[in-house]
Amino acid sequence: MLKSKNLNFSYRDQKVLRNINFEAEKGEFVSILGANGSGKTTFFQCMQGLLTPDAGKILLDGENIKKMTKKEIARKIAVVPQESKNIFDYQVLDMVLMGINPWLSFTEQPGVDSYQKAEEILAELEILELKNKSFNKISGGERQLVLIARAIMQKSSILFLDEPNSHLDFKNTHLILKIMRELSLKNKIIITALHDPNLAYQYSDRVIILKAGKIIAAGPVKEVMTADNLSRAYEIEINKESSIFSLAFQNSRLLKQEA
Amino acid sequence: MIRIAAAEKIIIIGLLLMALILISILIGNYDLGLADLSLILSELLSGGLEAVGDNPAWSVLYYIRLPRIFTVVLVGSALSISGAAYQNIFRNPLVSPDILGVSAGAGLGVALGLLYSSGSIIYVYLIAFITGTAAVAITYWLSQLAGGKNTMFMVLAGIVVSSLANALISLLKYLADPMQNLPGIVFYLMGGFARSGWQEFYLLLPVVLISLTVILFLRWQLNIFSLGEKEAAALGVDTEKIKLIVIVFSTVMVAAATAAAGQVSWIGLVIPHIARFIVGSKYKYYLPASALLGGFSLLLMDNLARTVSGAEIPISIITALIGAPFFAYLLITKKESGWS
Repeated sequence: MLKSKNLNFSYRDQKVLRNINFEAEKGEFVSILGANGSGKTTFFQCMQGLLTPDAGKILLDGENIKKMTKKEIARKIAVVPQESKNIFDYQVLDMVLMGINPWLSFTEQPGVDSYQKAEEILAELEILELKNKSFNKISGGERQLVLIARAIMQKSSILFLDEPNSHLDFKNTHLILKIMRELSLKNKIIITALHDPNLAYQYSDRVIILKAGKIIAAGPVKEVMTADNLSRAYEIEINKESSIFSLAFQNSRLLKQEA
Repeated sequence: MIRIAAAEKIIIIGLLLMALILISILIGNYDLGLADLSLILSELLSGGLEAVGDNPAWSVLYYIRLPRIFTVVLVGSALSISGAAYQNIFRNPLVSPDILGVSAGAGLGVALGLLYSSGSIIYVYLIAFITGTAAVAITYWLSQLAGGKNTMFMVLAGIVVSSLANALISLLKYLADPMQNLPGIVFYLMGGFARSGWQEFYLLLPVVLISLTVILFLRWQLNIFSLGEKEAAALGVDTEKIKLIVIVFSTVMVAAATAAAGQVSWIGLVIPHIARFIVGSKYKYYLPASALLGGFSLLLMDNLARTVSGAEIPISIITALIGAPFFAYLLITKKESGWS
């Protein structure tokens, strides 16, 4: 279980997060929505123990995250970064193996069982054929899948994904979110930041809407994701039509006309 | 095309290095042939050191060629291992001991040591280590102040620190007694192995072995480190600890290499690139390959330095003449490898 109490954070004198109270239970898929600059990424980094909040605390299975080592945190929280190429290239299998690191001692190398486990995970995600390929040379969607495989390798109960679909096409976006949905059904906590409210609506159990570092709405998808709340978050009028959210353009020429 | 596994490639490089060592023993002003070597060997086997003592070929081999060759190999390895380590720690394929200012910093220490410590080699080492460490610390600190993550800032900060250290070296040269001290400093820093004896070798050997072992022990975490500090931290890597250990041991190696051979440039930048090109980025292979290739290349260049002309050419001239164009070639042909 992951919880924050009255979380506050500022960069120099600019307040980025104000009194954030957050809680996620086993098996929950929580999406964070909010306009650019609303504090989603900062919130993520605080919750992952990468940034230290000015005030408030974060509890990970009841333990204050501030008092935990990076390794202890990494055993419970996995972060799936946005896919990008590495400066120094590695094979896909090695990238996945890196996920076992929190379970190794300071100078330990991954053993044979870890290699087997990594291959099993790649096979489950149906990308085993990539194992000897170079990470920089596979497609963006495949890279994102490899990073998910690495997070699974980490055996942590919580997965953070900050805009996982930012470089992905339509198919890969839904593929990744479907996998996340399945993981949440296997009792993992999935926390994502998403740009597209429709995706949050389709895949998550609960939604938290941030605006200027504050939570303006939080709760189950159906209750919170109203056109009204989203309009407030993105400061533009938003309509809801048959469960698909779309911008309410004044100029109808921008919309595709039905023949 | 036949695929050769990384481990096999390392063995091949090791064999090439051994062959080159043998060739290097045979070349030089004194004509030492394979016949001399076999004679020395049989004398050694039958009568030990006493039997071989009168043979002039033995003196050349034992007091001149062998210590020089081994010192060259160690210096080449030290510089390329530290280059490989710095590139991962700073996540920047453009950094090297020269670019981070470590070489210039250690050079300053060597000049100081030669001037003010009655020339004792141990003091020269120690002062070179202190100034080398200070240089890399200032470079890192400056780049953080200037903008942090951008890889270019670190290169620019290194230029600042190198210029300062080189200016101080010039000042020391200017102040040095032109008859007694100046030639020593100038030739020492231009680099070379003409004076290399067993003393240099025995001072370098533990430094290189210990540093290489420490860095090799951390090989797995270093792989992860190269993904970036945030990503590595999220994977449970104690980034501050790794950074400190690896920078200290790399700097120790550069300082020792500079104290032994002067400012040898380019090896630490170019060799890790070639090693990565041959065996990939995985530290388990990349580090040993860098070490062996560094020794191999510097030995090749030192052979040139002592045979091309009657008088010895300072090694830094040769490494720059070969290293700089080669790096230009790498820049042009390997655009896609994230050098931005």
